[in-house]
Amino acid sequence: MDKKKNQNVRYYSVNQRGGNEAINRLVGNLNGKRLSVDPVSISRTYLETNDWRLYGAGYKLIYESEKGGKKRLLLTGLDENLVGGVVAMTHTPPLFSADLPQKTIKGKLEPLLEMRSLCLEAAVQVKAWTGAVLDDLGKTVVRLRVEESSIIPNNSRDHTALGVRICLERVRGYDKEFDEALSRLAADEEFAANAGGQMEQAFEYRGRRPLDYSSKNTIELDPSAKAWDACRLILLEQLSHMERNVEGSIKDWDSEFLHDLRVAVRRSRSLISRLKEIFPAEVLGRFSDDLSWVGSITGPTRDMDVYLLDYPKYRDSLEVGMREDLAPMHEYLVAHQKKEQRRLVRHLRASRFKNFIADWHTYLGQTQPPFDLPKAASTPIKEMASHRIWKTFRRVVREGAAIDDATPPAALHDLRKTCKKLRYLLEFFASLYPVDEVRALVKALKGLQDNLGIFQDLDVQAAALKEIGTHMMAEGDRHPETFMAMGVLIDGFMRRKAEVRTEFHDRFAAFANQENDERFRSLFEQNKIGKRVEGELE
Amino acid sequence: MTVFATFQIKGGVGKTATAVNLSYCSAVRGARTLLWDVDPQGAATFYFRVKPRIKGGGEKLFRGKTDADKYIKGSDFEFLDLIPSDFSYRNMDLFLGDHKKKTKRFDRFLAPFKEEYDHIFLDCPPSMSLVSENVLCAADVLLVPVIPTTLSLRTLEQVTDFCRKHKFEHLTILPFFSMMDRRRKLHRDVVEALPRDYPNVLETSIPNSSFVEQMGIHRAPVGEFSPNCAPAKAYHALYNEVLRKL
Repeated sequence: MDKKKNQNVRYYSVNQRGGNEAINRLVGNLNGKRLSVDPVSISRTYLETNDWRLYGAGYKLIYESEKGGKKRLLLTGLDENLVGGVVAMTHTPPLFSADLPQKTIKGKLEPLLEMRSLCLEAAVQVKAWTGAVLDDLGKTVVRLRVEESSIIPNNSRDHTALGVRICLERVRGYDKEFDEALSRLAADEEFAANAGGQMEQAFEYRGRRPLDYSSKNTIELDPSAKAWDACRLILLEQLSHMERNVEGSIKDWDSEFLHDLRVAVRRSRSLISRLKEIFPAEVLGRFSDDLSWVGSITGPTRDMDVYLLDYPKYRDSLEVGMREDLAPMHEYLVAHQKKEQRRLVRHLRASRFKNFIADWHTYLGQTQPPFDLPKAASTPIKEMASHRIWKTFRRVVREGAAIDDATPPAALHDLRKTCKKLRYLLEFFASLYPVDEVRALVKALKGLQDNLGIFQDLDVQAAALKEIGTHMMAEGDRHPETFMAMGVLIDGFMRRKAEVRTEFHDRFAAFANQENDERFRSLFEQNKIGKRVEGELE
Repeated sequence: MTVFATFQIKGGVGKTATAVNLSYCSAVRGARTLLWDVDPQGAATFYFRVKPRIKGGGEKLFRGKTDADKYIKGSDFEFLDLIPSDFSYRNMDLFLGDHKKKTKRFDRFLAPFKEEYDHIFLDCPPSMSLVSENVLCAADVLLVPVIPTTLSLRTLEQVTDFCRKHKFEHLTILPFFSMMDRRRKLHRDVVEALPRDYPNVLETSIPNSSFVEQMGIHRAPVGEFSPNCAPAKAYHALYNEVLRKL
């Protein structure tokens, strides 16, 4: 199907002067069947994930519910042209990809959504009058709809009118008639092509803008800014990520709210510990403690989330006949996730958490700090960043080179942590260097991190399954077949771990090769400056 | 995706009315539905007010790659599309005979639609021919309307024998009573006796009704112009029962 044929719905706004008269005249000119006398009331809800995964991929998902009638799900492009067909729904709007009813929509959205929920909603109330352009047999060749839309903003009872738009819908096989109707509309000055930006308007009233949140670092740093000022901005962004994920974590809309919250905490801690020299005592003391505390209170729920997310993978790795045996473990995980979630909610609602967020905000918000900063805080950020990245890179190379087949696993875990620190530094300070170069280094590092991450995960998962098994037994679980299935899983983890370990050397060699070494050297090694910074710091 | 074919060797038993009304029921429930009017008489096409014409004639359908989009016409109803009839379909046996694997041409022609539609209905001409074999090959479910009379029963037997003999074992054959008149004793007797020989026969029967005849005047499915009449309700019930059998 060519692109033109994909544009099967077009919207036009009606000039205020023209109003109903213009619409009636248009319907007459189009040889249109008169518009229905009574409008249908439709509640239209735009659905998104918190990180705009659909919009980012060029889609809008719309759930429409007619008063006392049909419910439909529509997948459109950003111009609100249908791309995934319309599906009738029987129940409530879908929340997860598993709730999506139709192959074409599900096929497109499942890989995008992954574990994310469609919890971001913006509703528009629509009154719609329908009509049609007919041919000489009285057959519908173009569908017409006049829509009067309004929004109910948050915390308000009043509707805000979004105006009237006229919608022309292509009927398959009647392209000529559709194009003819479009050209008539285009020639009429009472109508203006409308890009279909209703969703953007609706979200604006809810205080959201498309793509206004991503867990990535987005701060553009000035290379000559003082280290403290630059880091303050980075920490502020991380704090805003924490704040934006608190409600979703409390309500448990999906597992990624808590995950993003934890990532922001981890990044903040990593930055503070990597650049200790520039931070005042209060940051290193009270706020570091608080960050570490948030890390610890969110850990148990996240662990359960991860096991639940991985559960289908665990189950499917077993022989078909054994898969059902694992069900009691699933029940255990669900029950304990709930328990940990309740504990987490208590913490996130407690004053310590609220005070931490409020105080951290106030503290980082001070552009002219009333406290004394360490001397190193005035170093230009690029010098500081280059120095740190270079040192951390050298450390990765050193630690990695020391690993041979006889090295205990702890050394690999340490290397994994050092790699993570390097990754965070590269991401925090990416805007100070040529984008492509940093991206290439991050990609190379990621290859090594993946290997080390899988190794660590398998170790942790094996230990966790043993622990879960012990707990289940202590709680009186009497399913020996479940423990046997869990044993098979642990055995699988161990075997896979040995394989992953043998892949380590290749992965490490691919990262610590001469090309990457030269790249790191040319971007970050600044002998003289480095020495000066080091002299000041040590 | 499921392919349903309304099929009978005998004419005038309500095949087209069934295809039109069931595809309408399917679309109303939100299933993406395609109706292919394979009958050169083009009655289904007429009911939907579509011009009975295929670009390049029916012969083109089976040549080379299917450019599906070219043939499809949207109906007046959301979720319901049509591949119209064309008078050249009367020679379809000849077009099909020219090809290798001549009984699998329909199957191949419909393959590109399988992603796009949930239900495909084939409205077939009354005969036993190469077209019929193609239909039996492509369909998953054979909906066989039976007027409760001796002749009609005889043809049901012929259909089932043919399917058995030619090993169309994938087919679910679902006979049901059509144009049923409860006032007539013969109809009542046949309806009572048939399930003994054909346990698959559906419980729902379609009454003989002037509403079905009026489809030609309104040029629309019964459910559209008289949603509460007996046949409209019967077609909905039949649709539900067929889905339950899958």
